[in-house]
Amino acid sequence: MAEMTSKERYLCCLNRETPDKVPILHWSLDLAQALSGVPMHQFAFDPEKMALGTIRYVEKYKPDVTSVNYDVFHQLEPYGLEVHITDSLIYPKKTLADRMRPDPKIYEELEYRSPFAGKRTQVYRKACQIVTEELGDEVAFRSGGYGPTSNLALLVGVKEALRDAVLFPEAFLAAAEGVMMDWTVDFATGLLGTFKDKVACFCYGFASLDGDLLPSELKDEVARLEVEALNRIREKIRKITGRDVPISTHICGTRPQLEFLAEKFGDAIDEFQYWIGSDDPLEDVVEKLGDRYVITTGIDHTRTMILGNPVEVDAMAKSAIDIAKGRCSFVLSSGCELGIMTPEGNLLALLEARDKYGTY
Amino acid sequence: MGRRLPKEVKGLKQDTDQHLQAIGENVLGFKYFEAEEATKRALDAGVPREEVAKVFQGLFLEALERYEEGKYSIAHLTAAQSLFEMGLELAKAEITPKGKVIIGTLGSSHYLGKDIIRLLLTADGFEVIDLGEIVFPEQFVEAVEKEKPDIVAAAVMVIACLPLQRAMVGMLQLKGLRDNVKVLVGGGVTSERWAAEIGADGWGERAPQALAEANRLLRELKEGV
Repeated sequence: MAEMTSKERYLCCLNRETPDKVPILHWSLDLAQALSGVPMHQFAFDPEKMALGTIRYVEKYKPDVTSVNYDVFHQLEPYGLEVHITDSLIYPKKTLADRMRPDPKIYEELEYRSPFAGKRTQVYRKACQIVTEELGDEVAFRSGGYGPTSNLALLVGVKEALRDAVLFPEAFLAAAEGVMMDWTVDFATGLLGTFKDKVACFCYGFASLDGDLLPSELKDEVARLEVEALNRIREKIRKITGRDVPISTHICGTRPQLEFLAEKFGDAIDEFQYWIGSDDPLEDVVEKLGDRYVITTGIDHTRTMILGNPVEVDAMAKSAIDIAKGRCSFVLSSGCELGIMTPEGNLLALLEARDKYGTY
Repeated sequence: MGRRLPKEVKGLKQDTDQHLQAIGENVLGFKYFEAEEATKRALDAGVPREEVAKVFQGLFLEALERYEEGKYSIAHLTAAQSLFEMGLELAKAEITPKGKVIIGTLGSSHYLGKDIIRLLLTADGFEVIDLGEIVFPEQFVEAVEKEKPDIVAAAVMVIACLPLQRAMVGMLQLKGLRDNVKVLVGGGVTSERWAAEIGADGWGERAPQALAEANRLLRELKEGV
């Protein structure tokens, strides 16, 4: 088979056809920032540096599918959310809910604020444009976002959201179904519009439905809201682009419950991307879901990519490819973003292993 | 949602039983403001602070037990934690600790897991000094010098902060403090292999394992292991 470009390889896989090789998906804010040559507090406000770091990351480590990486808080800053930005990290400093004292008014009085009003989101959109103009014909880029309950949790604070979902479920769900539903759809589709026709897929993050995170009665209700949000996003994308953009996923928790998600989301999604170190063994996932979805996993981004050596990376990739290749449409992927400590030798070993074992 | 009260509640004297029963029912029903009112009423009526604190301790351990049995979710545990903190704050009771732990999150602002472990340790009878979040190795070392804890519990929640855990163990060694304190590490991006590699004494994959590890390490200290 003639060699495909990275983008062709991934799109072929998403179409449930056989590509020339198993595509590789990984991404890393930390490594992109390091490759940009500037500290995080400069990277975070400079679209050219952000784009440069991502372009260097793609050129050096050659993922077929990746993202333009940033934190998950910038779009919430119009609400007053604040972050710390150090030389190497971005993390929240101030979220809406009080850490010690719960208050249902936070949810009852939540108003709509445009996700694109903040300075950092504008920086991010500009970086996405630069990167996709430079590499978007050759490399597959995922644009994405979380659902309304996860966005609400990021806004008020994750721990506070979990607490309040039990203490005041009605107020929490009403805010997710009301203001945050519209906000989620607007952010997801507005961001995707930034990539124009270069985007390979829309990636829906499932942070709120992991294993034992929520009470079962609340989980069904949250799933209903997430499905509604995704359907609204798909419909709006169709209007904007005139086509059905494939829907990939991101599930980085330790208890992904893929069968539950398949039952709830059905054909609204095309792919499951999850962490190989979670409690869903790849053999079972391929067996149960491989005929319906693209399966995207196999790279343990912490235990093997950081702590392992090239021999272990080779064994990890071979094991995943041996299980999945030929039995389902398979993408070799990390569960979440790669860390700054990931040795370069391990990333290069991953590419070699894919070429060695993952050719069709 | 169940209404079973822990043994500690059932065994209390009749004159305080009604107050404690009201606290228990509201806590197990996750009625935060009602539980707060019931606690204030109990304290105003002269129910001993230690008994109020003991009830909250028992209720929190019950919530943990239900989580372990799969009856409660992490969200339940987080809400229970919030109620437990409120109760302890109102009661302000002094309980003789079985050991001293310094806890904190290295490098980032994550606190969900760290706070659950802090409260589990507190409910289990440890004195816990919480250094908070965005803590750096130097602060752990200073706290060990000052507080002389039995255990240092350091969480790392993001990959970028893993080097800080290794640095903390190294700095304790350099300062000559390592032999006097047990090091317990945890956090979503850590692993048993990582803990062994950096020379930690224990690793907790999840909150209950971290609690079990803390008790194991305390036993080792007392036995001179």
